This record gives sequence, structure tokens and C-alpha cells, in this order.
Amino acid sequence: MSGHHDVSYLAPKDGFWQTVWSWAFTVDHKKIGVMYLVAVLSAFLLGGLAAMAVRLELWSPTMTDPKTGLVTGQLLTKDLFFGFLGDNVTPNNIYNRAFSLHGTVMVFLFIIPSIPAALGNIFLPIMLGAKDVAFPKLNLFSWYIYLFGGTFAVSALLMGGVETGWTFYTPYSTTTSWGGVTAMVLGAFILGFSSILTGMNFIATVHKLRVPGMGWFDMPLFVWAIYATAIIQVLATPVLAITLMMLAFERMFHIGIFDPALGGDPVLFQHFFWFYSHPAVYIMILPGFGIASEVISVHCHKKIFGYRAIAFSSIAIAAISFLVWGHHLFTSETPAANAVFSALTFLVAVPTAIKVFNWIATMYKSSISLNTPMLYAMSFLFCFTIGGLTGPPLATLATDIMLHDTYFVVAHFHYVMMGGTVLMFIGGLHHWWPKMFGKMYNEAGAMLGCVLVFIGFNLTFMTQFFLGTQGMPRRYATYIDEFTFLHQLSTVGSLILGIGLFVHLFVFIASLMGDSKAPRNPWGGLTFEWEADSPPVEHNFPHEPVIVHGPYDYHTTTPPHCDPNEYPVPSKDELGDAH
Amino acid sequence: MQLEHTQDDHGHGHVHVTPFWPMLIVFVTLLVLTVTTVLTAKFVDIPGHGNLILAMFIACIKGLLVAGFFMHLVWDDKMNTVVLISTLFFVALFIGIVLLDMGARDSVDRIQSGEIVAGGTREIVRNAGEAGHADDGNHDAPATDEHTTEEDAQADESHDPDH
Amino acid sequence: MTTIPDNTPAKLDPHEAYVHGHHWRTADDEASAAKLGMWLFLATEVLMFSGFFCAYAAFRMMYEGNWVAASDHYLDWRIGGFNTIVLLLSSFTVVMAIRCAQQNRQGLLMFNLWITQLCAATFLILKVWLEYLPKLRLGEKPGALFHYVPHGDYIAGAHDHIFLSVYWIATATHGFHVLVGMFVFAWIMLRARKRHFGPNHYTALENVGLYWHLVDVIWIFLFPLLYLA
Repeated sequence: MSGHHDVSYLAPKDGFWQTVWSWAFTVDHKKIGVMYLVAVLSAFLLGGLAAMAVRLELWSPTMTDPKTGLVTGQLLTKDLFFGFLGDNVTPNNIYNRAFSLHGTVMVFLFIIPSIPAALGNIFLPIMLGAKDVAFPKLNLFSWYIYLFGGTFAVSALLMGGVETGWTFYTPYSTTTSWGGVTAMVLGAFILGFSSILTGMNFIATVHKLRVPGMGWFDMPLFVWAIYATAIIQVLATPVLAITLMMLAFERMFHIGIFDPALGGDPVLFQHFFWFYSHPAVYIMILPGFGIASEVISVHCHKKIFGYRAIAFSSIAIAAISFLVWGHHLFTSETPAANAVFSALTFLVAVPTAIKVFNWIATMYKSSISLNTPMLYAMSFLFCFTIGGLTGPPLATLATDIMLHDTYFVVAHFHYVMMGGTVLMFIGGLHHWWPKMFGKMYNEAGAMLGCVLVFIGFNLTFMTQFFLGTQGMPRRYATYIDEFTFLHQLSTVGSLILGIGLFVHLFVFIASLMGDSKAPRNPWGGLTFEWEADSPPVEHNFPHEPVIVHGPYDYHTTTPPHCDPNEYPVPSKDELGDAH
Repeated sequence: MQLEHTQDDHGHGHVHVTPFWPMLIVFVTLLVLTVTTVLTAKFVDIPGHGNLILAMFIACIKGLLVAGFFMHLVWDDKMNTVVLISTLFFVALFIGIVLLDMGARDSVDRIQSGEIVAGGTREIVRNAGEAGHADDGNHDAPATDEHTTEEDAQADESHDPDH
Repeated sequence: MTTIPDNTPAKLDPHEAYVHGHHWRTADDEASAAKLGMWLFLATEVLMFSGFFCAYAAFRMMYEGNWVAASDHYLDWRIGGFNTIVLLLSSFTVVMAIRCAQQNRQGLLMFNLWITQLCAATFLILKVWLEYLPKLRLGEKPGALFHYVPHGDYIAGAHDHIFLSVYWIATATHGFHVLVGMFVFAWIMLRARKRHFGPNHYTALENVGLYWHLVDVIWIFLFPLLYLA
């Protein structure tokens, strides 16, 4: 056992099969995290292709482009995903399947596991100074559940797919839709268990494996965010499991719980579904907040402003997330519930705004190193604020009745999910890339990718706010001619966005192939992961680390393992009254 | 580091051995409560929702006894109790708010005017199923099989005001 | 986790020779984390079953009169009540099994586990034999499968099939948990026979016990709601 203490966790074993074995049956949280990373990025690629198919289809207002005679969208959707269905399926239906593919893959396979299961798995134990997560075998088990459920879901989606969107609303999903719904729903059910087990593991790790001397308020804020996420994963996901199980029974045996024709209630399904799926929105965004706190503090070389406020706001968001699901039902629930949920929904804005102000206050008068992760953090602040501020119009009953199920909603949640979580996921990938793989990446290439992603993203979704307010409903394959310009602008934006993401992919691949070795602490960070080797050894640290400073004490501590001249520590005067 | 931890490095440092007699008393109490539930439900008629409330009250006491003693919460790390209490809080929230919505149905105008009638019956389905077989185009009936034609799905999509 | 180091004298039982996982600082930490993890899992179970309770409450509110009549007619409280007592007894024997492990009384430990298994089997056999099979025969099935064959002077209500849907999915899911419990207890008994549980180490036994008690608690609520509505 002692032999592993000085070997990188990535080091191959003696033979090829031994190496494969060492990955397939590893209980090392870092290896499991890397496997998750590969899987979620593959899911991102698949979901992204489906998104491109949807955007291309929307290039022209009709199914057939009048100039070229081309059936738009079929190029990608039909030939790439659903070609084998032949001519039995109408183009409209193929469009439905394409956006459902995009939604289900992005939600269940990519964004929910993205940060917690990949980056969280790798860095949560290291940040706590632990050798591994609390239950390493369970961790491996939940990875295989993810793999199994993911395979199940993707094959269901590709072998015909679903046309219900990712929300599976009854009775459409139980009566009229194609049979792939059952398989997809079972896939999501299985994926839910992976999420639950990961959450349990992280909660137990945070409670029981902090290095001696590390109190709750000595933990990095990323850990707080993952902890809050894990609470939601544990408490909300089981309700999804039971909902999907009942939906599957509804399809197989017509048990009638959700079927109005049998005396059941479709609004009950919506309650069940959103009791999970609204908190799930915070499963998606909270880890992004955590990365933002890390990245902004490290790259500004300044103590994070309002540590406790950020930590508590994570927990507050987790708690409030369970109180607001009814705002998805404003057009279907009763006025009494409407009033309650509308009022509660505005509460979410408070802890979220606390975070945004704290990040901006951290950046104020700091010496910012404008690296790619920081650039992403700033893009995140811009996009997420837009996403957040377009929330109140949707929480207001009167305006929501107008905006419900329009492109305004689509733009809003893409600004939060993509502009929030995905931007911070990519930012976090760049931030921790040197630590994970021990290689530096090409800064110029990554910057170019970031700029393209930022421009492409805003072009794609800013236009959709205007489309929505003008009355363009979501999930429509065709539209009136007046919307053509904005739709085409949006499609151009999505192409730029796609190119930007591919630039990142190439930069990462080039980094892995190259030999630009990463130093121990490239950005001058103070949390435990920067004291580990790049990449870390098998049990993270040769000796259990000792906690001698807080995670953000840049005003008193020179970051270890890096040139102090390189990262100027602001003097007390420079800090002013900020503290 | 880790100095104060090392002395009880093997095994449960301070085991609380489960006591016999208190546990037996709890068990007997549970049995008595079960009998009480049955007797009050079957032979006592409390007006309103009295019977339901009483049965749930007794069930809660039984649940607390099991959780507190059988599941060792009384002696355990308090964190486990926190987990249980927050779980129950969210369960109450879930059921409570759903019932708040369902219970307010009567106040909706279109239900008051009889335009929407709550809850179909099996007769409706059976009739619709037969009608569906007759004209082969009814896709609202869940009793019909899954092979609804794509045209139907498409028509449903475009006419459904919710989409 | 339960490996025996080679240098251990052969006369030590596995529970005496237990060494905690390498990533734990102490065995106490490991045991309390396992318990916390189990409680978190139980939290997910409670929330999952809350879906049934929520559906029950919603439909009972919608079809109150029909609901009570259906419960009265389709379900026999004597079977439910007997099964409640059986489950309570099995919970008690699990508590006693843990006590035996803490006192290192291996024979009595096995005896208690056997009683537990017997109770679980009784519960399932009664459920299937006296409830599920007759119900299937009489067409008292959930939702659209409901095909009531009249017996006695009971006239089927308009929403009996919804009551039966909730009954079937709730009790079947609960029954599935009992079945899983039997398998897990079988594994526990195999380990207990090899003397894996003793005063030093009985984490797995304790956690499986927690699961079993939860299954019991859920039945404590299902019984009055379904059988005594």
C-alpha cells in the first residue's frame, strides 16, 4: 500500500489490461470523477448536436425552405438521429423528438451530474484534506448506475425517442406518445439513484472526513455549495423516482392516478414532477455558484467578501428551492396555490442576489489576473444576472400568464442553466485542469474559445427574449414569417457557440497530448488542492495536510508552492475598508 | 495531528448496549396501540374526520416510538435526528401544499359553473374505448393500445392549447 | 473492509480482528458515517413513499365517500392487523439481535435473525396468498384493469379502481421493500454465522436494522390509511 503514496493517480499500471482494470474497479474518487467527466462531456456533445438540429430546423418559418426546397432540420434530425424511422414519421414529429432528445440528455445526463459528480468527486475530498469520499465503493457503484441508466436513456432516445419534452406531462406522455417514453422514464429513474447515492456520499464526507481542526466555516465555499446540492439531491430525487415509476405503471397498466379519464389527476403529476424538478434546477446551479466563489477569490487574489453570507445563502437556496415548485403550474393550479407560490418565488432572489453582490464586492479593488477561468467567471456574472433578473417577470402572476410557454421562458432558463452552470463548469474545468491532469493548456486558445462562447451564447438566447415577448411559443416547429430574422440570428449565434465549444475541446486535447507540465499551484490558490501534487498522488496527500490558514486568507498568507512575486498580495491600505 | 482519536482506534469506543426491558415495554406499547387503532376505527364513530385524525395520531406515536427507541435516535448522534426531522418537514410541505391546491379546486369558476367536472369514471373510459374502436380515431382513451398513429399525435400536438 | 490481516492470531473472530477502512481516521468515524449515510438513505425512502401518501390524500379528498366504502369492502383489517403485529415483532427481534451482537451472544443473535426472517416471510405469504391472489381472481385490480366480479351485496363505486390503484402500488412497493429486506437479512445471517458481528463491530447489522424499522414504520402508516379508512 505504501508504494502508491508517491505515484500520480493517472499513472498507468504495468500492462494494458491491468490499467483498464485499475480504472474499471477503482474506488479512487479522482478516477471515478474523471470517468464521470468523460461521460458528461459525451452527453454534452450529444445534447449539443440535438440543439444544433433544433436551431437549424428553425432557420426557416416553414418545414421546407422556400428558396432551396430543402426540408430544414431533417438534415440533422432525421439523417443523424432518426433516419431509420423512414418516412412514416412527419417532420413535425421529428422536431418534437429532437428537442426532447436535447432536453432529456442535457438535464438528466449532463447538467445534473456535471459539476457534482465530475469536479465535485475529484475536489471535494481533496479540499477537505481527506483521502477519499466516505463510501468509496458506493461511489463506484453510483458511477455504474449512472452508466447503466445513461445507456438505457440514450438508447431509448436514439431508437425512436420521445416527443414529450423532458417534462413528460401526462396525459400526453401516457396515452398518445410513442412507447419510448417507458424506456426513457426508466432510464431517468435509474439515473436518479446515481444522483441520490452521490449526494449521500458527499453529505457523509463533509460531516465526517474534514481534516482535524477544520470547522464548518473553514471549508472552501465550493464544498458548501456541493453540500447544499447534496441535500437537495437526497431530499428531492426520490420524489422524481416515485413519479416516474407511477408514470411507467400508468403507461403499462393504466392505473389511472394521473389519467383524468379514469378519475385521476394530471395536475397531480405536475405537482409531483416539479416537487423534484424545481429543486433540481438548484442541483444544477448551486455547484456553479461554488465554482464561481473559488475562481473569483483565487484569480482576484483576495479574501472572498462575506464568506458566511455566501455559505448560508447556499443552504438558504437549498431550503427555499422546495417552496417554489408551483410557479411552473401557474396556468394549471388553483388561484390559492398561485398566490402562495408567486409570493414564495420572489424569496429565491434574496440569497441569489447576496451571492452576486458578494462576488462583485470581492472583485472590487482587487488585483485581477485575467486568466480563462476568471474570464468565465465574469461572463457568468453577466449572463447569470440577466437570467436571474428575468425570473421576477415569470414569478409575477400577471406577466407569467402572458409569458408562459413562450421563448421568454426558454431564454430565461438557458441564461440560468447555460449562462450560469455551463459557463462555470467550463470555467471550473480550466481552473482545475492543471491539477486534474498535470498539464497546462494553451491560454490564448482557451481565451478565444471563451470569447466565442460568450458572443455565441448571448446572440443565441438574447434574441429569444424578444421572440418570447412577441409571442413565439416554445416547442413549435414552424412559425409566422415575422419571426424569421430573430430566429435566424439565434441560429447564427448557436453556430458561433458551437464553434467556441469545439475550440475548447481542441485546446483540451492539445493540452493532454502536449507536455507543458503544470506547476503545483499555477494560480496562487490557498485551498488544500493546491498543496497536492499536479496531478495528485493516489491518496491525495503523502501525509495528512495540516490546516494553518483559512481557505481565502490572501491578506495574511502567501500562497504555497508558487513565486510570491508573481501573485501580489494586496496590502492593508489597498484593501481599504472592505474588511 | 489526530492525537485524541487514536486511543479507541479499534471498534465502537463507547457502545451503548441496547437495554432489554425498556425495549420490551416499547414493543408491548406498540402492540397495545395497534389494538387501540383497530378498536377505535371499527367500533367508535367519531364525527367529521375524527377517526382519521385519531388513527394518524396513534400512528405518529407509534412511528416516534420506533424511531426513538428501536432506531436508537434517543442515544445517537443528534445529526441523525436532524436528518429525520428535516425529512418529515419536507414531506409535510409536499403533501400540505399539494392538498392546499387540490382543496381549493372548488373555488375555480369553471368548476363552479360545471364546465369542468372533477374526475372521470371507468364508464367514461369503457364507452370511449368502444367508441374509439368504432371510429378508430379516439386517442384520448388510455384503454386503447399504444400504437396510435403519428397523425393523431401530430394533430394532438397542434390543437393542444397547452403547447 | 472486513479483511483479516495475515499476522492476526487465528483464534480471533472476524469482529474482533476488524480493521477500519484506510481512509478513515478512526473506526468510530467510520461507524458513525455509515449510520449517517443510512439515515440519509432512509430519508430518501420516506420521501419516495410520501408520493403514495400524497396521492392517497389527494384522491381521498376528491372521492371521500367512495374511498371509505371501498376500503371497507375490498380490504380485510384482520389480515392487515395481523401483519402489523408480525412486522412489529420482527422489529423487536432485530433490536434484540443488535443487543446480542453488543453482548457477543452469537447463538441468540442467530436465533433472533431467524425469527425476523420468519416474520418477514409470514408477512409476504399472507399478503400474496390472502390478498393479492384473491384480488386478481376477483378482478379487483388497479385502474383500467379493474373488472369487479360482484360478490355480497356491495355495489362498486365509481372510483373504486383509483383506491385500488393506490392500494396496489403502495403495498406492492412496500412488499418489495420487505422482500429486499429478507435478502439483505440473509446476507447478514451468512456473515453472522461467520462471526462478523460482535461488540467491536456490528455496523452492517445495525444499518440493516434501521432499514427494517423504517419498513415497519411505513407499514404503521399504511395500515390504518388503507385498511381502516
